Amino acid sequence: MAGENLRIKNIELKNFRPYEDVTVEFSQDKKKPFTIIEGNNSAGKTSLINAMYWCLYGKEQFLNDGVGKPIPNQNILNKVKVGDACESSVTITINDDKGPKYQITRNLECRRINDGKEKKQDIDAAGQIDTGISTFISQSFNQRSSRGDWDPTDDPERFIDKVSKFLPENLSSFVIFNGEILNSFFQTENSEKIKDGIEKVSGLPITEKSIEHWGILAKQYSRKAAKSSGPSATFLQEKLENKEKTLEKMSKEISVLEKNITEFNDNAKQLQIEVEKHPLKALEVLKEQQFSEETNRKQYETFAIKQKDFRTTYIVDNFARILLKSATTHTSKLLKESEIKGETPPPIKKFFLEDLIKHRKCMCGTEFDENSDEMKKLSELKERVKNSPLVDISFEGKETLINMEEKLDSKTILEKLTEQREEENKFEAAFRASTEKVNGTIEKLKEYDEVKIRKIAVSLEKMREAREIANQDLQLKTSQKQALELEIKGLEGQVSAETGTTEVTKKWSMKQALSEMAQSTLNQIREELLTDIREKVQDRTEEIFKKLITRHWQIEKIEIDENYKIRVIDTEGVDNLKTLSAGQTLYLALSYIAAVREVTDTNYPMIIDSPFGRVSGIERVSAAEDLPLYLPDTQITLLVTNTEYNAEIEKDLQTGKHIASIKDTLKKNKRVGKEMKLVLEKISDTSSRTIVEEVN
Amino acid sequence: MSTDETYDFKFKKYASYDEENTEFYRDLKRVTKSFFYNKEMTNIFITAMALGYKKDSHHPIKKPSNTIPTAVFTKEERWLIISLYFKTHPEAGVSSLWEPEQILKNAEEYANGGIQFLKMIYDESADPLESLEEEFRKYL
Repeated sequence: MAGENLRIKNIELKNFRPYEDVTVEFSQDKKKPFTIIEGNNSAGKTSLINAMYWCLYGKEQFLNDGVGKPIPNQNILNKVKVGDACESSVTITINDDKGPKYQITRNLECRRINDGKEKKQDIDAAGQIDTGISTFISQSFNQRSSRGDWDPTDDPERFIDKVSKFLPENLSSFVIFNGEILNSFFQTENSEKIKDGIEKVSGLPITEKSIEHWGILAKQYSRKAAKSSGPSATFLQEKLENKEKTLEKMSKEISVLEKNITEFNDNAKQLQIEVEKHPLKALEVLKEQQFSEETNRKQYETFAIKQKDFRTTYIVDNFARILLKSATTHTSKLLKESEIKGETPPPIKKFFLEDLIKHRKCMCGTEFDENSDEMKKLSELKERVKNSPLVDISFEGKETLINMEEKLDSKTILEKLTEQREEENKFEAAFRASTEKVNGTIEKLKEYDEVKIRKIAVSLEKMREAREIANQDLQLKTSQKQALELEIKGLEGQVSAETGTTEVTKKWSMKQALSEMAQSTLNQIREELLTDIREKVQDRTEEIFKKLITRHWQIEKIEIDENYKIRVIDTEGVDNLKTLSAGQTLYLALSYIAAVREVTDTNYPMIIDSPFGRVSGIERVSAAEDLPLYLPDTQITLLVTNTEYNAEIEKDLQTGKHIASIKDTLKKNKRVGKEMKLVLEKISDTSSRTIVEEVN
Repeated sequence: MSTDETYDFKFKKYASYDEENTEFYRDLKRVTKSFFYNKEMTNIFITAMALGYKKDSHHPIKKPSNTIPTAVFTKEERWLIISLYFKTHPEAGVSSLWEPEQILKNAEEYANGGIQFLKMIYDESADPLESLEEEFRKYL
C-alpha cells in the first residue's frame, strides 16, 4: 500500500454479529475526510471494526474474552434446518483515485448437518455453536490490475500473502486504532510489532533475503574450498559448520531470553506501578485502622448507652420523689406531731422495758428504787407501747422520709442531670467522630480491589522469579556461547591451515571471501536504513508532538530506540511516557502514527474507535481540530458514543471557558463528509439487530 | 386490733391500673425507646401517680387489672403512696394507716389520672426521655 492514496469505499456486512445485511459507506471527499459513526454502547461499533479485522486477518482483535457468541447472527443461525446453511460475510472495498482498487471478502458458512444442540467452541465461528453445525471459511482478495480488470485470489496462502503486503497485521494498529486502550499502545509487545511492520513496508525483506543468500553462497564456497583440500579439511569444515549451527541456535535462544527478560522487566514495571497505586501495606494499615476504630466506636456506643441508662434511672427514681415532695414533707410533719402527741412514740420493744423494770435500772444504767417516779414512768411506758401498734410503721415512715428528704436537693439534682447529659454528649460525639472515621476508612477501602491487588502482587512475585530464572539461564548460555565462539575460532584456524593452496582451492576461497564481504556490506546497509527510518520517525514524532501539546517547552526530546520503544524526555532528562495525561498520550500516539505513515510513505485510511473516550476538556477539541493537519489526505473514520461526540462543557475546570462539542467543532470546520448512527433495533424479547441510519 | 401484737401494714396483693391502659403499660416496658424499658411496673405506677398528683388528675378505675404485685414496692414507694394519701386527705391522721386499702385506692386513682399525661410525654416526642426530663426540670 506504500505510496498509494487509499480510502475505504464501503464495508458490506451480512449476518455478522448484530448486523443482518448492512452496507456502511465512507466519505470519499478529500476536503471532508471525516466519517462519523455514532452509536451507544453495544450498538455495534466494536463489531464493525472487528468485522474489518476478521475480514483481513481471520480473527477479531477487540473481543472482550475471545469466547462467547459466534460471528453469525444468532437469530438466523437458530433458524437453519438440517441440510441448509447460513452465510456470514464481510467485504471491504477500497478505492484509490481511479475508483475501486481492492475488494477483500471473507465468508463463513455454517451448515447444519444434524440436530445436535449441545454447544461447542468453534474457532472459525469465533464462539460457541451447536454441535450439529459444521463451519467452512473462504476468502478472496481482488485487485484491480494495470489493465483495469480484476485479478482475483481465492487460495488461502496467497490471500494471506496479499493481505500481508497490502497491510501487515503488525501495522494494523496504525489503521484501526482503539482510543480506549491507549495505554497499551506503547508497550514493548506493540513496539516490536510496529518495528516488524515498518521493516515490512520499507522494502527491507528484499535486503534481508539478499543477506541470507550471500551467507548461503559463502558457506557453499567454503565447503568447496575444503573439499578441494582433502578429507582432513572437509572433516574440519563439517565440524565447524555443526558448531556454527549450534552457535546460531544458541544465539537465537539467547535472543529469546533477552527478549523475555525485557518483557519481564516491562511487565514487572507495569505491575509495580499498579501495586504502588494501592500498596498492600497501606491496605493492611487501613484495615487495622478500621478494626481499631470499630472497636472504639463500639466502646463509645456502649458508654453512651450506659450513660443514657444512668440518666433514665436517675430521672425515673427522682421523678416521683420531687413531684410528691410537698406530700412527703406533709407526712413527715404529721408523723412528728403524732410522736409528740404520744400516738406514735419511738419503738421500744416490750421485752426490753420488762427487763429494765425487773432490774430496776434506767437505760443509762442508773438504779432506781422500787417505788420511785422513774419506776412508775417505766411502767407507764410499757403500757403505752402495748397500746401503740402503729409504732413500727410510723417509725419506718419517719426513717424513710428523712432519708428521702436528704436526697431531694433540687440544685444537686439539676447539677447531676447536667453532668450526666454532658458525659452522654461526650460519648455520643466520640461515637459520631468514630463512625465518620470508620466510614471514611471504608470509603478508602472501597478503592481497593483487594483480590485484584493480591493477584497483581502474586503476578509480580512470579514475574520476578521468572526473570531471575531467565537471568540465570542467560548467564549460563552466554558463557557457553563464548566458549563455543572460542572453539569455532580455533576450528576456523585449523580449517584455514588445512586448506590447500592449489588454484582451485584459491578460487573457492576467494569467492567465499567476496560473498562474506557482500553479506557484511548488505548487513551494514540494512542497519543504516533501519537507523535512518527510525531517526526520521523519531524526529518527525517529536516535531508533531511538540506542536500539538500545550506543555511543549517541558519536553526536551522524543527518543525511539532500536526496538521502537518510545521515550518522552523532559528538560531534566526524565522519561515522562508513563505520566502523560490521556490527552497527551493520544497526541503522542497520533504523532507517532502520522510520523510512521509519512516516513514509510503509506497512506492508509484511519479508523479510530472511542478516540476521545479518555480525553477531557480542551484537549479533545484540539485533537479533533488538529487530527487532519497531521494526517493530510487521510480518510479518517471516528466511532464515537453520543456523549463523546455531542457533549459540550459549560465551564472548563482549567480555563473556565465554554468548550464546544466534537460535533460542533468538526461541523464548524466543514470536515465531516459522512455521518451515520448505529441503532440497535429490537426484533423480539431476546434478539435485536443493528441498523445504520444516515444523518444528513 | 390486738394491742399486744405488732401491726403489719400491708397493701392488698395487687395494685391496679385500668384495663384500658394495659397495652400502654406493656409498651412502656417493652419498647426500647421507652424510659421504662426493662424497668418494673411499679416504676410506671409511681411515676404516673406523681404526675396525677401534680396535674390534679385522679379518676376511679373502671376495670382494675390487679397485675402490679405490691410486694415489689420499695419502702420509699410505699411511703410515697402513703404520703400522697395524707396530702390529698388533709383531715386524715396517723390512724389512717389502719386503712391501707383506701391509701392504695387513692394512689391507683391518681396513677390512673397521671397515666394520660405520661402517654402524652411518651407519644409526642421522638425522644421520650428528653420530654420526661423536660417535665421533670419544671418541678426542680
